[in-house]
Amino acid sequence: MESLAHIPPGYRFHPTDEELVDYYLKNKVAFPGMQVDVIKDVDLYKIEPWDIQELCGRGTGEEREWYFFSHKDKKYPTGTRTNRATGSGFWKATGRDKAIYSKQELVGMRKTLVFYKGRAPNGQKSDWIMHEYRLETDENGPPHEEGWVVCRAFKKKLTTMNYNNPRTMMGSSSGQESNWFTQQMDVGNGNYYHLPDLESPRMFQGSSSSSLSSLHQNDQDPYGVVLSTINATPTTIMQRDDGHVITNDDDHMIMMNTSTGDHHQSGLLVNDDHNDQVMDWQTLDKFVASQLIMSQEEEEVNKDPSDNSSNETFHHLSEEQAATMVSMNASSSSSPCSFYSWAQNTHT
Amino acid sequence: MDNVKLVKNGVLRLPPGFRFHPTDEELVVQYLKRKVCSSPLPASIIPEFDVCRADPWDLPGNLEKERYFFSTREAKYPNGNRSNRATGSGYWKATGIDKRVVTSRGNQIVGLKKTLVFYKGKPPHGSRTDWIMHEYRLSSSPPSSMGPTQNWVLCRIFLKKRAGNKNDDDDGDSRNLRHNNNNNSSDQIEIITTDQTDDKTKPIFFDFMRKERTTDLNLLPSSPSSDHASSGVTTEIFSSSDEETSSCNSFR
Repeated sequence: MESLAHIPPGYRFHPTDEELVDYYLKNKVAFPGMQVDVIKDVDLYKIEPWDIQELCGRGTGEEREWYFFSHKDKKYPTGTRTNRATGSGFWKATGRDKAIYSKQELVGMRKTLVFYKGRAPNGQKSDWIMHEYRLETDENGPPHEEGWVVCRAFKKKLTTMNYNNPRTMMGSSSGQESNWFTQQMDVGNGNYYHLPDLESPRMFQGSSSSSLSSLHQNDQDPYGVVLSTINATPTTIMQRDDGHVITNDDDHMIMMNTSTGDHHQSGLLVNDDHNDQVMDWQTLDKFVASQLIMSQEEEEVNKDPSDNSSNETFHHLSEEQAATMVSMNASSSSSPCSFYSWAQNTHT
Repeated sequence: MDNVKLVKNGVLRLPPGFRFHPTDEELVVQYLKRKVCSSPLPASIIPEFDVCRADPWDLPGNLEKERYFFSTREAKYPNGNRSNRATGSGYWKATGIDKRVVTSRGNQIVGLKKTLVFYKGKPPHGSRTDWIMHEYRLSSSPPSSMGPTQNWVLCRIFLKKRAGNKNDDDDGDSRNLRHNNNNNSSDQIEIITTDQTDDKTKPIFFDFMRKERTTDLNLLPSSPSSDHASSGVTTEIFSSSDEETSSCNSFR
């Protein structure tokens, strides 16, 4: 009925998926005996891919696709295998089946297979690709293992560009992994920056060592000061002639000595605490407070000498030292008697 | 006979799936040669239309597919071989060397194929487009005894799609690369931030320790002073006692 002789030059058989399934396969199933010159019957699994070219060709050298009908028979009663073996290799299904629609209705499914040379599961992949079309009206129905199918066989040459795209994707994925690795390194660096906290105790201990060293150096100074004090004492006593004036000064000196003594004791206590509990921050706070108080007192003492003349300043300092002696006498039982006796002698 | 029937019917009755994808040889031998000789054509698939009368996108037919037209080649000047052909929005410019159309059997030259590209604007400052035209002409002129003959050429016009796809892929890759660069920049910024935080923490801690040292130094001079004062007081007390005793003796 349909003869290829009437096909004008320049026309070629390039059917769409819809045409293959909805026209050719449907008619093949409905009229099995009808022969179509454009698509022949072939037992796919008894020939090799390169044999299809001779069986299904029209004789022109411009063909790149070959179409044929094939009848699938179930090999095993309970098997659902998709591997089909030939003389020198096997066809292996790949990818997911694609649905074929005609006017918004499902008419068939397309399965893609690749030819491997050798024996399953090992084999050498070849460039022969086959699209197997089967009738299907329910996309989720059970798979049909027997019946007519129409196939298109071709060599994978035009899809070379598509093969490069996955490599690009791989490159992108590698890049992302690099970023992830870099972030991990950043986290590691962060851990490194936390180490200074562990070194804090060492720095504090270093400070303690420095304190001890300073203390050792200052111990030598007191000897010089003591000598100068002893030399000054006789001169101070000889210059005192007026008894009344001496009495008033004594009272003032006593008050100063009392306050000074208290502060010295405070300092000692703080110092002891500091040595015992180096790590105690509260002790350090108290120590700082005491230091502030002592600084203020020194300022008050310095202000008084500036108001007097040079000679009076000298007397003032000497009197302070004498007052210290009187204070020590007062602390003992014999001190009051001595003081009283001296006063009476002065009046007489 | 069959060919005549096809032409007369005006409609080709072909099984589904057959499409017009001719080779260069078929175009020249089966269609152009017969057109020049005014012989019947195998199929009336190629209309007559002056391809320079309209822009490529305004020519009749489906833009998505290759379109074929019989067109006449009019020379602008008697002796000129210029290949510029102007249209409404641009012009066709020849590119490359004319290729020979050879038969697949006897290696016989039957025609020449010229490739042209469509440019928008006016020559020579036009912008190139993806519209391509293949112009086929016979390699030899027919005998003059055939009578007055027109310079028929067969043109195939189509849109260059593969190159477009490649460009799209390249753009995608570029965007991906830029995205990666942006990520790297963000990471670098984070690194800098971390460094700044660490730099700020260290100096503060170090300064605090220095203050502690200063305080300790202030304490040390005071303690020796206290000890010194105590020693001085003890020494002076003895001196004073001796002097008082001397005074009493002298009075009596």
